[in-house]
Amino acid sequence: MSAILAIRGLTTRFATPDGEVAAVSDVDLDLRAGETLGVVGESGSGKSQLFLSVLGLLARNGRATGSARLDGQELIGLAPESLRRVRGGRIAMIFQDPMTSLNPFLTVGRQLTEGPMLHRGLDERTARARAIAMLERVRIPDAARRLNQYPHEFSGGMRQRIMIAMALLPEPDVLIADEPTTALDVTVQAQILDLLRELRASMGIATVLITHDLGVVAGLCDRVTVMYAGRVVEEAPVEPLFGAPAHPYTRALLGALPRVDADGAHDLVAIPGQPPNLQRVIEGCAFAPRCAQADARCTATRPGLRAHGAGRAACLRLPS
Amino acid sequence: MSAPLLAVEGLRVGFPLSGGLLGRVRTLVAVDDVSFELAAGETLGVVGESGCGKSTLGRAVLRLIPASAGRIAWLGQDLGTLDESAMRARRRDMQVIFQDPLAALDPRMTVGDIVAEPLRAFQPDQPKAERRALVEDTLRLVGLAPEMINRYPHEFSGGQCQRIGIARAMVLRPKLIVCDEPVSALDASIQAQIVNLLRRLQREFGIALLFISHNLSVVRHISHRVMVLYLGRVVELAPTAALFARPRHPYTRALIVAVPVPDPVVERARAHVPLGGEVPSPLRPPSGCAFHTRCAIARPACARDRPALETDGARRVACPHWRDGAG
Repeated sequence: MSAILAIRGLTTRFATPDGEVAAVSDVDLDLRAGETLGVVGESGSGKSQLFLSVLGLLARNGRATGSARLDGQELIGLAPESLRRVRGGRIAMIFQDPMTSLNPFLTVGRQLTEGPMLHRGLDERTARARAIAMLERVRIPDAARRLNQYPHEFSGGMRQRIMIAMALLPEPDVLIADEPTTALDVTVQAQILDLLRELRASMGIATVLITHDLGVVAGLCDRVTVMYAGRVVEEAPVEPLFGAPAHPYTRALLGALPRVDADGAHDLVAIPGQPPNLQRVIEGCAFAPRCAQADARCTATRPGLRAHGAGRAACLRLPS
Repeated sequence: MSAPLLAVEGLRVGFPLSGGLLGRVRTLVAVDDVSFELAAGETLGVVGESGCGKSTLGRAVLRLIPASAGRIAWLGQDLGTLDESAMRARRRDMQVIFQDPLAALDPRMTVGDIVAEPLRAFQPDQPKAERRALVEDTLRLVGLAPEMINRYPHEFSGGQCQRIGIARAMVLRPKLIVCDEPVSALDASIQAQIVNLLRRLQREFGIALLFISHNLSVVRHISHRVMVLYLGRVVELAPTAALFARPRHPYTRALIVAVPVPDPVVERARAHVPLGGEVPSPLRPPSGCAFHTRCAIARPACARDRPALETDGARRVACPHWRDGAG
């Protein structure tokens, strides 16, 4: 199937007082029409910076090179004004904290109608009717009345629903959700995941779900990309990725997780050490110092992504 | 039977809030009539969502904040009857570690000074060489190299900072450590290291842990028994295996099924029926059973009568209707 978003050789570096940091290195990634792609990794894996690069939302000291094409249109290096149009139109985003997207001084109704009136030339009545319909769709009760309220009058879960409604209003082709449920209580997280599942079934928007939570990925994604130290180490459909992970890092990560459906008779299999400092150039495999299977080759030669089973993995120890 | 290490009875913690037009003082009840016991060498997990009072409970147990009612007994002795110096002596057996390890460590102090601080406070006359040896020993115990003694917290990663925090808590070889979301800020690979470390320290030194967390998977893994709080009240307390296999309180059931499992086969097979609504404000807790506004098996009486905590062997549940719920 063709990719609606095709990322090739994307590299993102940040200039810092202590030197340059390679946050994202040479990433290739395809998002296919209608699929939900999980992008997982720990802090500093580059999973968020990768998509901030694609969207032109990097901090000032960041610079992205490479290519990211949305249906053929190159986004890297696009003029800021054109990128803004892409972000408010064909690509929508939701973040962990809804307050980063909502203006505390404007009513929810104003925030949901302003864009469509300005960019699509809708009259106020139509825009309001559409906003109400979208709020109902994300299951906000009493939507017509609540349109006149301010963000602080909503609970955390309801604010997240408003942000999702706002993201979906322009009928985007791609939705990028960065840790959308991480700040929520677990019962509210379950509600939002349920909503995302339902929207996936009814709207079929190609979605990137960036998260550190492998449970969320297991329940919501079709395919998964695993990142470590700024690079993709494995990608596969969700069932083989969890059932038969190929990369030692993916395997180790799954072994390190306590599970709510398993007792704690045995110690967790922790991954020793910690992720590498990305200010230093890493010659071989970035995971080698923590990897139980690594040998001399692994610290000398950087592995590329190679086909493996139903997916791809970057590990020299895999049979070719 | 000898007295448990810690026995908490009817603990209540209220925070006065000024405000209102007439300057009336309202009270936010963060912990409401909580009772539990903790045996030496045992881990009691404390779980619940925002506003359930779990962190306040941990601080009140350590008497870092005052309780407005109730009794906390240490090996049978009521801590409320102790004068300041006796309480101070008691404190060396009761330590704490926090969620944000870097914020909990003084950035101007070296790792050695941070870990030695409790020793200076409780054993001021200890010879310097002996103190240093004990600090180095404790650093090794938590998996840090003794050479790190002269470095500063900002030079360390989150996981290492949590190890420093644990070393500071361990240096006096306490009998109890209150762990307040100790792994919540850590990545999964580091979280497992810290969880394993706490379990090993407990095995080696017989420390009791009051393990406060919103993460049910971690709590199941580390706890012998689990206490579930909702809006400051105990809704269920049970041995871990029984609680997760056969949760009784409707809220415990909802909490457990809400946790996503890292297994797509399991996730796909199960029905996703999330609990509705969100936790009400602790400023205006619902009448009767605080959970009745979200409960699928609630009946009219639940809005009126506050349920008593029923004891059945090792299990306690605050719901007279739990037998009617599915599961």
